[in-house]
Amino acid sequence: MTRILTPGCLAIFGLVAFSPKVIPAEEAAASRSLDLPATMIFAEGPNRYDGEVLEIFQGRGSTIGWYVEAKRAEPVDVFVEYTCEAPLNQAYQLSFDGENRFWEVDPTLDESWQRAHLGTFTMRAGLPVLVLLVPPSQTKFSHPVRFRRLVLESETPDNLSLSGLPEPPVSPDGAPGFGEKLADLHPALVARDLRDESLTLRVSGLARRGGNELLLTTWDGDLYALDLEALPEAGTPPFRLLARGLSEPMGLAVSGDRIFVTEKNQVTELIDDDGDGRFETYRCVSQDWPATMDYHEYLFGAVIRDRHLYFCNSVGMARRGQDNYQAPLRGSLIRVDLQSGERKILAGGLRTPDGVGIGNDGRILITDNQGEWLPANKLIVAREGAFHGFRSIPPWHPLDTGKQDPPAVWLPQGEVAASPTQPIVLPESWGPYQGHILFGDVTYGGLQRVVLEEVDSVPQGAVFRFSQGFHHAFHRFALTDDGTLYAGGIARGKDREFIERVSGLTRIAFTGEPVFEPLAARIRSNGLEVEFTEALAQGTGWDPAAWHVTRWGYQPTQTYGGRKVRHRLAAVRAATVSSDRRRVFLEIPDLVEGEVVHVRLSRSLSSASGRPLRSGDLWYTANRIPEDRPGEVRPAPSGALTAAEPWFRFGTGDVGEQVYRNFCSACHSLDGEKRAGPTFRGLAGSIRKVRPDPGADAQEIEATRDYLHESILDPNALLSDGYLPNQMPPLGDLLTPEQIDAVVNFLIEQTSPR
Amino acid sequence: MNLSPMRRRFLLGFLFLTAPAFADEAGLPFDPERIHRSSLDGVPRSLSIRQGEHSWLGYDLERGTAFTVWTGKPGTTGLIVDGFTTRSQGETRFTDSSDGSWRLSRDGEPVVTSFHYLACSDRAEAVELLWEVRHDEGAVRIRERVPHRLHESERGQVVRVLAVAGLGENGQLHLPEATAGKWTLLDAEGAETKWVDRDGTYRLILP
Repeated sequence: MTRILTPGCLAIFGLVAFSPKVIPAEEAAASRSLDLPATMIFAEGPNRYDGEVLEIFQGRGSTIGWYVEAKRAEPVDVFVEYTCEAPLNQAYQLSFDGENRFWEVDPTLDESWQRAHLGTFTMRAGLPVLVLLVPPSQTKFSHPVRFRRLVLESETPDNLSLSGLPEPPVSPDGAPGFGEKLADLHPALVARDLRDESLTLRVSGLARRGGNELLLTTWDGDLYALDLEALPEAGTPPFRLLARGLSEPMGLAVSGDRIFVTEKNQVTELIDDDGDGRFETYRCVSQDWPATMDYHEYLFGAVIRDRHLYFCNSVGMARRGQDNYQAPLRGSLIRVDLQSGERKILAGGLRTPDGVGIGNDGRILITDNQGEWLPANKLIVAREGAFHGFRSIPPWHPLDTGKQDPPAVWLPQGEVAASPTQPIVLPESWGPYQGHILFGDVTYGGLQRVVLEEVDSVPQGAVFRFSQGFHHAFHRFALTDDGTLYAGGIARGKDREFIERVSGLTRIAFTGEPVFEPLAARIRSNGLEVEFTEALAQGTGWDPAAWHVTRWGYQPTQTYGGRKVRHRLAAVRAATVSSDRRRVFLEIPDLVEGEVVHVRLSRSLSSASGRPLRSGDLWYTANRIPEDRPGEVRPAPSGALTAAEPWFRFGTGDVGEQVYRNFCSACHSLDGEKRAGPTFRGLAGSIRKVRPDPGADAQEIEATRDYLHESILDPNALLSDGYLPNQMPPLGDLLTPEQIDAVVNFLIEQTSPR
Repeated sequence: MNLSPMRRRFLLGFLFLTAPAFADEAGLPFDPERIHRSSLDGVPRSLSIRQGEHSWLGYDLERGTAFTVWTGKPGTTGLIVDGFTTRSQGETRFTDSSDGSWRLSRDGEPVVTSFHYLACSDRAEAVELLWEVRHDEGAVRIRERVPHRLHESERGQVVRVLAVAGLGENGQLHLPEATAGKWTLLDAEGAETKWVDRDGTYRLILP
């Protein structure tokens, strides 16, 4: 059962923003104290209630949180009332409006209630503040923490009040590219699958050598070359094996004739000592950071700038449920001198930073994957000394001062990314997309596009869906001088058929074919400007109702993923079309720094040339809001605010299908096609082999509605036989209970015997 | 052609031993059948080198020393590969589970050093490992050769050849403690010695 606070948001389209219903504090506390009862949390996950007491056996998947409001800003003390019969192996986290404290739970001697002071925080006035009590991730306890309430105490009587959980805004009905993943290849792209049926190329690194040679490393430890001049227009590409015996290479870079590979535990230069074309020497350029036997410790990416190699190392995962230990310096952006091997830690707090690239201005770009401490995926513009939020247990990363550098762009999970990979900047030959950043995704698939700008020297920008319709899930990229993009695919999981199908190499050419889609977005002091690839049709774009705008923040926690914080509609007060009809300024009052603004465009918009809109979503991360860049607001021409048809339709689409397409379809097919997870074909009512943990005996269970619910909330609870734990994230924190019900209904309907 | 039984055995043995080295599909160095660069026996930074038919040496790349030597059972590779990890399988002939590494002294006094793994080369006759012991006045380089094959007289032994350079006057390079206890160190003239006290070639032999 999931308990939800009373909805309190006036979700009236086009009108407002956030107006939560206020629940008065207990009369007895009408002074300086506010109770946050255990019964009023968002979701208990796999835990259970004993009357009004929540017994927490397991952290993953539960959301113990409340929204609190204050009339005036002031310090607030937070207390917890609990019992706990034995010590825990890890600390709880209290996240107060993004400020963290760690609570080492002292055992209580008997079952009497104890009250512990968790810290003093600064309560801001205005927007509701989210208070989260977060159990250790990945941990199951034989004895629970019995938890009754948090208590907030302030100086000023009646200053604090408990808000209801705002109900997420209702999304307009989806279609591919509009609230859903795109379904096809971008019209301006031509893609060719460079397949050699005799090879399984799980591409882990890709780089050019000289003018016409492409080098690629594979997950299996090989280095191949492809002579692009000898590439036939059809038939098998002439891949040539150059080297082997590499240890989980995940990055490849070439400087002149020198080849560098980031392997699992070291940076390696491949050297041909005698010029015979064979690499006899693997030089260890650097291994100057600790390593353990954790399977998830990788070196990701490899780019060269100024005689230095830049790459990231990921954090371990194997001990998260045990004691959450990380080897020192894990989760870093690292720079190594190519000659001396001298190593410098440039940034920390990364988790699974698979993608490393170089931006327009020479700065390093990083993509990082959603998970613990990352409520969504990220595109980061690196800054020396920055800390990006992933924490383990003390000793902290040397750059962890408790404060986090925000990403340049949040990449919301399931909506536009799931496992983002290498970012690459597009060259001049890509026309309107010159300077934009493409990145791949080994779960979500396809290519997405980011456009950056700076405000007060802080990078930020927007992400757009760009293309699906490829054979491969792209991991690494290389561009040739003529702008041809080579994209290497890699498959997750262990299913051989899936691996062979999704891995490989694709050649992508930009044709310049005109497309009508949002091109860029720019922040203004009073709203957001959206630029299009073509002029809008005469008289369109002026109606504020044609723009469905929502916004939210993120609050990182030590448990997997995270919900949108203060997810609410944003009022569009006016829409002003530029004189060339290529840009529309959306006046949005009260933009909040640090939040994501999501704009859904109406499918009814068309270009002056009559082309329909290809994609209709953008997500802008507003790290800074400029004070001196107002957007121009002009009155709409007469007749421009009249629409013959509603710009959006609500409730006629299948929410369950939409959730399936955004969150499930990358790994689970409906038709039996093999993907990273088990297919859903014939699922409903079937007998499944599952294991409570990988070492346990398999047991048979019927795939009922309850089973599906449990698997969505806690995928590790009943693992499908043959699959490892933690491959699927718990979705209880990303989806509303209504969305979960909808997707369960959809799956039952789609997979029942007919 | 008539071959004596001894010569036939020698030829067959030679062909077997050289087969993995030169008859692989691409003839490329770093054939995982002979050099495996994945973590061995729980040591994250390690590699395994096969010597002869069944003998394996496992190196700890952070300590610069062979931490295990084993003989695989006939009919097996002697190395079990599982993802990024490998496990030795067979009869263990030497193991060093300490955290000891090479030690440098000057005039009998210990010198503070740091140890660095520099390279691994796969050459026609041997695998070469290059190590560096850095100290406040420079560095001592150790080039270690593990021959792919053994001389007839060395059958049953495990042989490592060390070329030491940069030791300087009055310097002494001491073997990792566990190695010193089990291996025999011979200088260029074949005389047994306890430590390295001048630049030159040495042989380490595990009987």
